[in-house]
Amino acid sequence: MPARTVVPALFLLGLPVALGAPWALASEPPDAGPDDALLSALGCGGCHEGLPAPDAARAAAPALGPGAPPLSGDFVFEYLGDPVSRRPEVAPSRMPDFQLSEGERVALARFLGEGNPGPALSAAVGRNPGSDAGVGRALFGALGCAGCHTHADAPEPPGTAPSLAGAADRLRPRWVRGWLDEPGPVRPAHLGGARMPDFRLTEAELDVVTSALTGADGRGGEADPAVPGWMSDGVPEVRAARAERLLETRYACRGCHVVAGRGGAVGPPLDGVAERLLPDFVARMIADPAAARPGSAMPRQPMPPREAEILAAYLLSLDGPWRGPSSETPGRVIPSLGGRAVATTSAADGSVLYATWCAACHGPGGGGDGWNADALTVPPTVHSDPAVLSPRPDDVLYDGIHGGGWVLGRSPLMPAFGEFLTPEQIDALVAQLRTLCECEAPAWSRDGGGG
Amino acid sequence: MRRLAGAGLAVVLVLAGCGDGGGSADQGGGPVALAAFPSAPSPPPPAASPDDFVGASACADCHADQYAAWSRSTHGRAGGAPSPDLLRAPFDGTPIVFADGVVIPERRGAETRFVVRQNGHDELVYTVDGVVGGGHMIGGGTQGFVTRMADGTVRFLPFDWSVTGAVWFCNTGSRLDEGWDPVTPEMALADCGDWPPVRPLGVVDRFGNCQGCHGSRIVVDDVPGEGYATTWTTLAVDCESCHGPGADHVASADAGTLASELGLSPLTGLGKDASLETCFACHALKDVVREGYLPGAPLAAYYALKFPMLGDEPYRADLRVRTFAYQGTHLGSQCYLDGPMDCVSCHEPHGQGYQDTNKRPLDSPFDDGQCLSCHASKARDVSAHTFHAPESEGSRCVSCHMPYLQHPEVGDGVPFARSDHTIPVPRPALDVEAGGASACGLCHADLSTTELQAAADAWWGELRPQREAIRGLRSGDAAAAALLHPGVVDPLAQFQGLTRFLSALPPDAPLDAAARERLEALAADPDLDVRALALATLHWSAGDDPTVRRLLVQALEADARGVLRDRQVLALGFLGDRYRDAGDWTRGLAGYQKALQLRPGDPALLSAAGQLYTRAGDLLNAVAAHRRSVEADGGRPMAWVNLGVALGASGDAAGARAAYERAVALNPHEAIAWNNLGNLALRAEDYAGAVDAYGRAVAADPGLAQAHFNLGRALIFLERYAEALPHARRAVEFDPDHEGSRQMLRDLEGVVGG
Repeated sequence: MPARTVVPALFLLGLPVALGAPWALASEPPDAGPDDALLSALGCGGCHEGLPAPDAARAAAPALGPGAPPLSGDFVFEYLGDPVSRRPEVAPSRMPDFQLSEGERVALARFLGEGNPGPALSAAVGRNPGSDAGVGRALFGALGCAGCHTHADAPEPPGTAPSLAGAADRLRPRWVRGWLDEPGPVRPAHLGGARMPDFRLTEAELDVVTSALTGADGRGGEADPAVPGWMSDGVPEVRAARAERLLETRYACRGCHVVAGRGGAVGPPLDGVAERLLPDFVARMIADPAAARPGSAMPRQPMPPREAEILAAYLLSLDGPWRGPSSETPGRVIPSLGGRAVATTSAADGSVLYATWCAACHGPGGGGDGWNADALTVPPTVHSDPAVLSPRPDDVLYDGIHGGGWVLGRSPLMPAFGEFLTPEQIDALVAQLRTLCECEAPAWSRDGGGG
Repeated sequence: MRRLAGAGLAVVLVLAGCGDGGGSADQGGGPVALAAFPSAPSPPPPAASPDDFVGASACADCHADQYAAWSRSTHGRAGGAPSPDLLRAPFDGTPIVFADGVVIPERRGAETRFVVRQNGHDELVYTVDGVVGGGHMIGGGTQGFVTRMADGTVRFLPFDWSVTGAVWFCNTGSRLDEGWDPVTPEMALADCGDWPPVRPLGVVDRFGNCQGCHGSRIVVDDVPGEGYATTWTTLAVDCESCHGPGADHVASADAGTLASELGLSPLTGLGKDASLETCFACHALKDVVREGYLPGAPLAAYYALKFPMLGDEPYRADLRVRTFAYQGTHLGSQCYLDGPMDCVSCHEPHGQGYQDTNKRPLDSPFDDGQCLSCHASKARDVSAHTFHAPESEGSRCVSCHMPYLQHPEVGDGVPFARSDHTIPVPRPALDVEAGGASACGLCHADLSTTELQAAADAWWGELRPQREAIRGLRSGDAAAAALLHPGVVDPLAQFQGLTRFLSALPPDAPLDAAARERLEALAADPDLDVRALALATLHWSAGDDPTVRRLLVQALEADARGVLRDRQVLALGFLGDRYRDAGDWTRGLAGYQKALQLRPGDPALLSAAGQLYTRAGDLLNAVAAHRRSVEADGGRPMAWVNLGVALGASGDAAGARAAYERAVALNPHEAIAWNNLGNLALRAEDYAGAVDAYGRAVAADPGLAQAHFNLGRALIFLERYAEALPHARRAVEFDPDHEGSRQMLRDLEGVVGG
């Protein structure tokens, strides 16, 4: 993306931008630094935890929906397609570019607009008949529109944006800068429609935001914190071979992540991960995800420190450049696995737990057809098949969830959840499996686990 | 080495004009050409030589933590030179009292030795050149001792020490057959199977032994003209015993190129079977399929782990140890079959401590963490599973699932219990019925099996059903449906079923369609040993059927390493031996013939067949087979001895003498060759020559009763009665049922005085 220059202060959707100090908002509290001011103006905290509250963005963003000044559907439809040129008098707009598809614009326009659609929207509706107001409402929530705009009928924000608390301890400034400049998905695209929008930041703004997040502006070279066994120019091939063997025989990394070109899409790809993440964070994440990143959706896989070091060094050696997952996942609605979603699964509700932690691979109905299944080298177990589950005692199901597929002599791609879910939650999942298969454990196993 | 039988068929084949291993079958319309067996692939070059090993000290600098842990471990302290630090037995001069003498274990300066004072014989001194075992094992630790012999072998002395039982004992296996007995004043020295020392350290096929695991790189080389040369790196089990040869690794480290050339195969992240292979090189029964194994080589190319079941029953039908075994029964555990369990799931390999499957250290072999890291469900409410108080012994996983069981072949005299690595579900009645102890009964000795079973029924109700293959074995049914189980994953039980089926299968009996179908399915089993024995069974029973022949040929064509062929030869050669030893010459010959079809001209097979011919009285073919054997490999002294026997029986004394002389030229300590040379001299009334030859025989093998008897006879001919007397005593000592020896002893005692 070409560098932009700061333009004279104008108002778009009520957001003031000042020449030379575009983030200097009169309404900011006096002790707030300039970095926080820009973040507040951009509204980052509307979606991401760990950042300043998006008060400025909220103050500037117009209210929408019932009770707010009406907007025509055509205006919304066309504005969302190109906020800058549609309102050149207020450019550069702080309204970010969500790179919406036409269908998404139609849906949002039908949700937000009033009155009869004009010719542009009408034609687009004809091409996108499924993009109704209900879809628009869901998108409004998923995109985090409510982070800045008020809307009386908006759904609760889904909490899909990752927390940026402690981002300086894990993200490479250089990568953050580049990504802010050209945002793309980090995790699987379209977690219900969510995505990081393009804020069209200037070079100066990139300096500020990158520094605010990571403590450095991302322009210069960066030292590599030490990670045992890892060297910035790679990892010895013999160690790589050892790590590959661990991945093939023992650990579940490829169940969720692409590693060396293969693997699932539940978590971010790891090829080129050393470009995106700080090396010691990668090591800490493998050793203890919950400690490295509180609220992480990644279950800790028990392993000896030595093997964690081997894996960290190997992952950091994987060739880049780091690329996010494909931005399109046609026909799939991928459930959220992160941030606030983790908190919602603390209860032992088997169906919720299953939808959150199992369905990606095993399918929402246990058919083995989750959206991640195609990325796996071993087909996920079909939990809805009584012929598969009825020979297995409940304790075996529990052990498999607790210790992963490996402890059952099955695919190691199935992670161990024993250090992530509570015993009650695992029990609830076992019960959910029995619901899905509509079957019982073998009779001999139902009496206290005889054998 | 067990069973490398061979066949002399060569001669029959030549006479029959079908020596190419092919053949034909009459299928109604006339002979149908059988597919020819493909040639055997060239043997793989040795993976390493002893020079490729560097010893543990070379590892210490770079791998200090692992080295320190190993130094304190049972492997690191498994044996060595007799030092005060290592010796657990009391070499304090306290006599070990036998009925016919005393043995004094003592230290004289730096020398550790046994002084044997046996009634009627000169004093003998055996220097202890090595200590085997540190007495570390919880279920009963022992320590044995070896001494270097004149022929270059290093042999076990018969006096072992039980650290746990604090008693001297000996293995009576080949004499009284009472297992391991503590020495008592009622026991004669010759009740000990190793008196005089006969078991060498290291693999020496002449003695049918396998003690290569009581140390590191124990190598016994044939030294033509001298006998043997025995070397080892250490009598401990060192780093390279598991990691393989380290010379390349050290060189790479020195050159700074470890990043690209590790120089050895890392053991991290091995799958369960590859991991087990590392440990099963020692911790499992095995048959030799190829000599010359050194650590780091592919185990399957050298050893077949299930073949000891062929012709023997080391395991019960429920796969637990029936006689004496190591931890190979782990292959029969549900944890292996249905899970990922290998040795390092519980055993920390450097220090031999304990760990869970995630390699978290554990306190002891009784720690529940070994099991609960997989079976987390059982940790939620322990008593709901165990029906015992949570902190009681009855709630320890291993108390019920890995009880320490005395190895039956050892007997009850010396503690030698090992934890049951089949990791079974306790079934009190079935366990006792199968011939073993019930885990429940080990604690609750006051309760009858019936009472224990009633408690189990009340607590657990129906137990997990036993596996299909085990149920078949337990049934006692000899039908294919009970013994042959294709499609299951239970290799130890499948193999045992195959051995039973094969044992009851004469080669000329038709194979019914159901059995054949099962065998053909088993011939594609993932397990190499199972596959090989199924193929050998098909070869044995229907090898001339064109369809079966094609299957056999296809299997061998896919056998690039030759490991399948090696095993089939082993099985067919075993059948040859078995029927030969039973006096069924036709079937014995059939076994060798079929083995030779796979390995034409094999000298060991030819030699075995020659022995069959000799015993059958077909001396023409016997001589021919033995000649072909020594032409194929003239470096085996016993092959020359066997040729000499056949020639001697044919009346060719000169030829026999020449053959024996070739044998003793190769190994001047070949006792049987000397004995037979003595026989030739005796027949020629060359009594002095006979005395000389027999004397060499008993010097080489003091336990050879026949040679003592013969020497006594020769000395009597020379009227050297006093000299003959001790040999008469030895003859009776080692073969008390030999009436001739007993008569000789009575006569000599009458002449010389007792």
